[in-house]
Amino acid sequence: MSLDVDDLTVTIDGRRVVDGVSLHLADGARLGLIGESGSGKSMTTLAVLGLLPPQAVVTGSIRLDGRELVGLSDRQLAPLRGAAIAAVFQDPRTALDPVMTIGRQVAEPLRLHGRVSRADARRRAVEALAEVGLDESVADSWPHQLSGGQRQRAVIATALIARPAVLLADEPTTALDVTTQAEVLALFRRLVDERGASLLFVTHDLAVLAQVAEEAAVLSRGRVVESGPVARLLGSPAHPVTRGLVEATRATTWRAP
Amino acid sequence: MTDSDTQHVDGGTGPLLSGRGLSRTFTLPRRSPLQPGPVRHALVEADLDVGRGESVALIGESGSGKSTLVRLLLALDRPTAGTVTFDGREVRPDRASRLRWLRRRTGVVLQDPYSSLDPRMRIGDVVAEPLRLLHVPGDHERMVADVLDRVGLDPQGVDLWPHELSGGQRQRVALARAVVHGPDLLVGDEPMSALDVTVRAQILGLLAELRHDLGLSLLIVSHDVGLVQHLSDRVAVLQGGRIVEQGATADVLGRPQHDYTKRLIASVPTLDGS
Repeated sequence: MSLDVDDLTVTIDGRRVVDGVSLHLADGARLGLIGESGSGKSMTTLAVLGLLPPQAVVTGSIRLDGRELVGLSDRQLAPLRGAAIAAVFQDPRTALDPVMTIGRQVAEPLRLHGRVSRADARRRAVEALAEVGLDESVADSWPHQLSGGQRQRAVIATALIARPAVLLADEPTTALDVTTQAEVLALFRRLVDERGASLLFVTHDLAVLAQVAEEAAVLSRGRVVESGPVARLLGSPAHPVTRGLVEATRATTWRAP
Repeated sequence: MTDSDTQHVDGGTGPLLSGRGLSRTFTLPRRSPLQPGPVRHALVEADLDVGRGESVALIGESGSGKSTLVRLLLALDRPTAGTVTFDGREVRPDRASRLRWLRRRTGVVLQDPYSSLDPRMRIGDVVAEPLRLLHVPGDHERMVADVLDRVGLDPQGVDLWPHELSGGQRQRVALARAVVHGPDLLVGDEPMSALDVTVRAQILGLLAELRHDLGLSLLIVSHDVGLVQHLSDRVAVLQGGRIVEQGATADVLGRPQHDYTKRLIASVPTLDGS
């Protein structure tokens, strides 16, 4: 499925946090959205999911395979969330319900979106866990018994179980160790390639972006200041914001000697 | 002021901070009433030195023993075995008043500038607090203004509250607080992992500058190989409570010997996408 955002604005309490953003995520593509805190990238993601705070005013258009999402009620959006479009957020510690076993949480989108038997839900949860590299015993574990990396894998399994056509990932590896991060990034690439899903990957980290996305849009103060192939953005950034990000990244990230 | 409060004059020749044979085990809750609880070895026979003016990094994944080692080195925890010395003087957990000399000579900056500053204290008070608690003589107001200026903040900002500052400004406040009393050693626990990349570059530059201008030694705990490469002379790699590799940063990161270090280096994302 494709996702098209056109001239999106989000205003919260008189403050314009997203200011005329347009993005095109083609079917089966991996698009990055990069920017620093407050640049509007998370607000854009939340707008796509219809999860903005109630006082937010949204104008513009968000189309999922041509179907307009802006203006849909919560009730109309609910069947899409978790099914056609799913999201993975930053912190695996807060994304899981501490009093529900992993297996039940992973299967929850299935139970919410259709009638599945308990045995079927369990079987598919185990399959989804296997897909992200977790074994069956994890299904009976509680969130506190898992490491950060295992939890984030479980969150990804939950996002994937209903086979969404579009996956939104908002800083999904920021809370993880670097070795776990590498595994989770590889997992995203593989799942998108094998499933033919489309991925919108939100990050503040250019080095992470370079691992997952082919194209990217750079956000600053709610606007897209530059977009294009990731290799071009990193190699010859045109806008001062992009240049600043690239320079700061070169000054702080690992460079093989 | 007691004798132990007196600031030492740097005249020693050995390392500034030295840990020898440091081990720490924790006894976990029993699983059966018939058997003792299992023992977890958080740290096993670690040796680590930080030389005068040297910058040393500890890297390793969560649970590798980095934080345990730092806690022992700062006398925040008692080793099961081994000794710690600071400028030749033995360090062990004790009453606050008997550790004041160590606290005066060390400063600590933590990961998250959002939770490390007390939201009910104005910036000036946050920064002045160590001076008060450590009974540092002198004009505190002046010292606070000087250190704020040094970390790139407006000294007029002493009346602001933490929530009025950006993440980068808060981390500058945390740094100001860590060095206001003129320590010899600055300890940073993941000091940049909560920051945006342009702010990281600024704080990295500031750390290097403070180290140079104040003649600080640095002990940085991080799993950020980029930070370590840009800031440290020497690095010790921990895994499963053991130091599995240590040496000059360029050697350890450039030609990693241990499997874990190799895996770590291979995992780090780089701009060329490899």
